[in-house]
Amino acid sequence: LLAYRAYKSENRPPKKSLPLDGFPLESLTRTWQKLPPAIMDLSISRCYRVNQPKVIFEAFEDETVLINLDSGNYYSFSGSGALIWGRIVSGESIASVIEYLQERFRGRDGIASAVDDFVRELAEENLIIEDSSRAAKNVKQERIEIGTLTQFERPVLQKYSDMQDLLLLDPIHEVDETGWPHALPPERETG
Amino acid sequence: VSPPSSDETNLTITRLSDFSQAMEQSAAWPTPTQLLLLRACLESGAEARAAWEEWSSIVDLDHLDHESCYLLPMLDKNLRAIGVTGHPWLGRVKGYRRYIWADNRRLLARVSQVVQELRPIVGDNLLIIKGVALACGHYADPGLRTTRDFDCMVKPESVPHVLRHFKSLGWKMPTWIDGAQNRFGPDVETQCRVDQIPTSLCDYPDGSSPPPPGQQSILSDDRMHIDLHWYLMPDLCGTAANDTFWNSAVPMRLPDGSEVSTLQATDLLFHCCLHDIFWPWFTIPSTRWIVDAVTLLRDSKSIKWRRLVDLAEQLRYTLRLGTALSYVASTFPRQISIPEEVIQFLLNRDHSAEEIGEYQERMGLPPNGQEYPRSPMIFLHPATFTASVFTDYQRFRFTYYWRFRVRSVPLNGSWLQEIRAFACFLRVRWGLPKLWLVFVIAPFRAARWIYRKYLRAGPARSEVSPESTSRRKNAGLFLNN
Repeated sequence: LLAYRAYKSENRPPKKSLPLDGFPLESLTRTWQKLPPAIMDLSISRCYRVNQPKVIFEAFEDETVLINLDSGNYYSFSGSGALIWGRIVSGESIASVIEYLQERFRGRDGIASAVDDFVRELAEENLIIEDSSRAAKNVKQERIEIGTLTQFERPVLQKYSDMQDLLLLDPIHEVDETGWPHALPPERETG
Repeated sequence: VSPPSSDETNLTITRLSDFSQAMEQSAAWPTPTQLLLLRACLESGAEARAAWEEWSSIVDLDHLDHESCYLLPMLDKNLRAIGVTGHPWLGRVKGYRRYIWADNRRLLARVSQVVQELRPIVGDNLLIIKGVALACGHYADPGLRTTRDFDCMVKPESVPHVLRHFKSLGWKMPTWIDGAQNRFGPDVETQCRVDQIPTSLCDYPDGSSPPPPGQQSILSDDRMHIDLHWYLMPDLCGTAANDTFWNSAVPMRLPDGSEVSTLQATDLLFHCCLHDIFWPWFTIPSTRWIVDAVTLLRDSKSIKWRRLVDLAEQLRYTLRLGTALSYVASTFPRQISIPEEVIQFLLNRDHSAEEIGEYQERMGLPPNGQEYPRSPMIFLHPATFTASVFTDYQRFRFTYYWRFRVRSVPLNGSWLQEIRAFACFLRVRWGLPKLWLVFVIAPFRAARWIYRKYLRAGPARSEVSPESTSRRKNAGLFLNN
């Protein structure tokens, strides 16, 4: 056995050194510095997670609703917002979400900034918190198409303060055609 | 016994003005209108679409009865699954689903807190039952099952401690359980020490409607409503009868990840089939139990049919359970399958006297084709007396005796066993230390009852004092909340 090991160690191929020679490090650094700050920020592959258990959410087909149990606020968004939320929940980095949306909507302008604004808004409302443990992974989930969204629209986070008041609304009679939590305008309610 | 066809109950509730009509024509089974809604919620494809179109053409969403409102979250989910679009109600129906989801999640967050608070008092002896157990464990999402309150079950010996805990935190209870009018004593300890009796047999001098026996409602300032049970069902009295549910409990996780115990799927099915149906004071036939049962039965592998039949036989619910399962199986044959032999066994066996009487009491009809059992007690069942002898309320209270005697009289027992059981019941009811005292005191009490009812001049029993009126008002306010 010893003889065999000695034979193997002698005949083992030499380890390949990393091909650093000729790598365009300087040119890449220059390109990096020319990028806009927003893209630079996204390129570090930030990841977020839902601020559970304080935040609860549910996807109702094309719409996602959330409640922050701490603040008592109710939130909802649909369309591209729900699409972005689904990706964040599944653990994708923001860069990956943007890449996906640009691929899906054929590189429409403004997607990166719209996503960044939306994510910042979610974070400001404490609905999501940055997850540093997943930052470097840049997780790419299986691309599942959600809904029949054909055009990218800037996501809008609708916020309703004070759940207690909302729950006191009659969900059949004191709401408009779009249903709870959209209360009837005062003039229609009194009329 | 065959369930009535939908044509037999021609009650439609579409407007508030119809509620009075509904009160006059209380029926145990869903009305044709409710049946359409159930089909729109539970069927699939063209059948669900046709039911939805017919239902939405005959009802007014603004005047929907509460039982139908409970089903709107399921309706929204099913309508989206079958691709219904463009109807003007869809927005409000979806909004109702969002509302129930938000309300349920708020409730579940509070439930987790309450469970943590109760752990030091009851340990692991806490069972989550009814709405929360179904919504978290068996529905696709917790927002699909309307859950207005938190039903949990504790052991009878823990009840005083639990109630004292809630009372110290400022929760509200109706006066009956700790009020001075309670014949078993002014405090909850005395009340719950006597756990062998149906508690609704306590005196109610003001004539207010008592809560069902074996449970107590408590209400917090933030509108949370807990139904604390120590018996699974109002008529399932006694500790021994409930032990089987404790012994076969299974773990379940609440949305926040905390682990609790709940009834296994078979026991939940048993409970939901027996709990909500056939109550004569329901002005609108209950439909939630049907959706619960179908949801449970869709996962038929989790149902242990042998256990279900044994429970029904042992606790004498074969007629009620068989009738309920027969109705569900015949109404939704494409959604669920119940072994035919289970239904046949439950319906065709020799039913006990109390089951026959109970069926008559609740359905208002004699069970077609069923012969009375040999037990002589059937002729003493309150259902056989006219209204001049027993008022509806007295009849309802006395019905609980029939559940009390389940544990003491065998099926089709002798006269001697019946008399002994009734004497035991009276001993507990009157708080006597020895059984023979019942035979001494009974003639005097009977004479007093006859004197008060037929001979004494003065105000009628139905007239109540201002003080008792305010007590009733308070109790009513609590219950209405």
